[in-house]
Amino acid sequence: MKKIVIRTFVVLMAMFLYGCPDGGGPYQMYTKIRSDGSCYREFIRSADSAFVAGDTSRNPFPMKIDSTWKITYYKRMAGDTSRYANLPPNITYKKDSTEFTWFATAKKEYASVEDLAKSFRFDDSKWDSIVPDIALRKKFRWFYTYFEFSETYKPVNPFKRVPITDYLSDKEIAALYGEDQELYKGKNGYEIKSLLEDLENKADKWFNHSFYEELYAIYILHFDLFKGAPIDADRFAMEKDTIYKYYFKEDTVDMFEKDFDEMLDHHFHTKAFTSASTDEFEETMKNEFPDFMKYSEVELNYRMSLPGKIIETNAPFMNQDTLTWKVEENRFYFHDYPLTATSRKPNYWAFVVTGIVVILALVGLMVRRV
Amino acid sequence: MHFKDYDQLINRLKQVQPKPASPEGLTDSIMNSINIQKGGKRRFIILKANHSQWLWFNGFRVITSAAAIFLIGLFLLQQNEINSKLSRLEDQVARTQLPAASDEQLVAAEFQKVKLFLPDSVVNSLVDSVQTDMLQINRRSLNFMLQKIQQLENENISFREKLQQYYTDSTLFKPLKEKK
Repeated sequence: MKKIVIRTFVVLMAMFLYGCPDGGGPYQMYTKIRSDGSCYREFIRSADSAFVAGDTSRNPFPMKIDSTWKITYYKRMAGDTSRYANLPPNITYKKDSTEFTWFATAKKEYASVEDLAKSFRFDDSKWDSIVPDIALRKKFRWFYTYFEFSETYKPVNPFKRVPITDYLSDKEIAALYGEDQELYKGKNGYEIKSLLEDLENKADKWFNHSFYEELYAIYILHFDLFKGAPIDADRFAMEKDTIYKYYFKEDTVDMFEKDFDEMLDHHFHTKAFTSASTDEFEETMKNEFPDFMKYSEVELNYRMSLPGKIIETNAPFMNQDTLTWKVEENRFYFHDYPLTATSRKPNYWAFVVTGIVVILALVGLMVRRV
Repeated sequence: MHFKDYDQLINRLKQVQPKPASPEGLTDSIMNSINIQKGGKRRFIILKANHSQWLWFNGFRVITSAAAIFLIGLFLLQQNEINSKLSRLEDQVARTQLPAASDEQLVAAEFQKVKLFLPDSVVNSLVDSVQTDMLQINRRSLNFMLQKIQQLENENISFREKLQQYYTDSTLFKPLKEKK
């Protein structure tokens, strides 16, 4: 089990250092909603030459490509100033001392946002089970038509045995895993750093506790594998909290340093647990342990445009009327991550009708009878 | 004879009392004529209408006036709401300072600015490119780094100090320098 734990820690460290583990950087996803309710979704990503040559097994996109997706290619040379200029490359090619990178763009038209919500899936990536709730509400309010867009990513936390609320409040989760800055108000950089370290420690404690609970649950489930253990499964289950308090409490790093089997052997004065620690058991553990890192391999730089002028959004970036969100698993690990935006488009005919009504009213007030 | 007929006609006319065509509109018409004389300009539109036509017109006038007040009110309300939303949006959303910047440039601005230098010559040749505003590393270099991290974990050596031997990063270098 130690192997799994160390591997996990290394991956966590790598994620901390590099952010996105995939070579081509985050997926560049763009959604444009039109005023008639139709829309299109577009992905841009660095591609290898095999994909450009037609090898679909080298698909650089997070969704399966079929004939409904329109694919175009772009060869980015040195000094390029196009929209592809600042995108991260996956593979750089060299020909006659000239470096270049291939970029592929996949675009698909949808008749409506409902159609997009029903048919779009990240089905060629680790996010294949993530289905965001996408909705567009059109509200007619005489002078303006309002477009309310929302795309909500549901929580993916696979650890359900220990509630995160035992360690972090909703506001603390929003500050640590999300973009909420309410807790930072009135604090300087050092104070914010200290606050975040405190929150990180609490999150680590929750992670340790959850990790332990999941691991212990699997050991209870496969207790019959531990031949010669001096206790039965019920007694083993009863000892769970005692062991956690004795071996792990208040020490968040211990979980990654201790060998779980050796610890159990020590506690129950036996060798049954280390003896059962075979490669086969390791494999069982790997298969049954919640895949809590599964979604971390995908990251989206999500840009979106709505018809008319944006008047309300929770997007952290806006360039003219294009909104940008960063979508990755931390942001929706514990709670919903809603991407919301509202725009309004003027109904010019309504202004004309209103003008006519106002003129008629003024004229009416000026009329006198003979 | 001729004069007699004339006198009779005059007497008959004198006996007839004058009757206004619209007694209730008399005051209005007098006031109108006074206003016209005063201002010299005609400020009202005069409508010749009977009673029922006037009632219809009054109804139309009330409806258009109410509609105009409602629509102007709605417009002011919507503008006020939009203005407050836009001012909130300005505080909330970070806008790019570069007017010519594309969306991609804006996204790229989010990336951490790090220079990566690997002292090992074998590893150094694996780095795709080194630019001042972007970190680029290929899979083999990344794997090398991961191996080193794992090795450090196993050796239980001060993580930061040892890591600095493999690459120089301003964010790591400064605190160590200060410490020394």
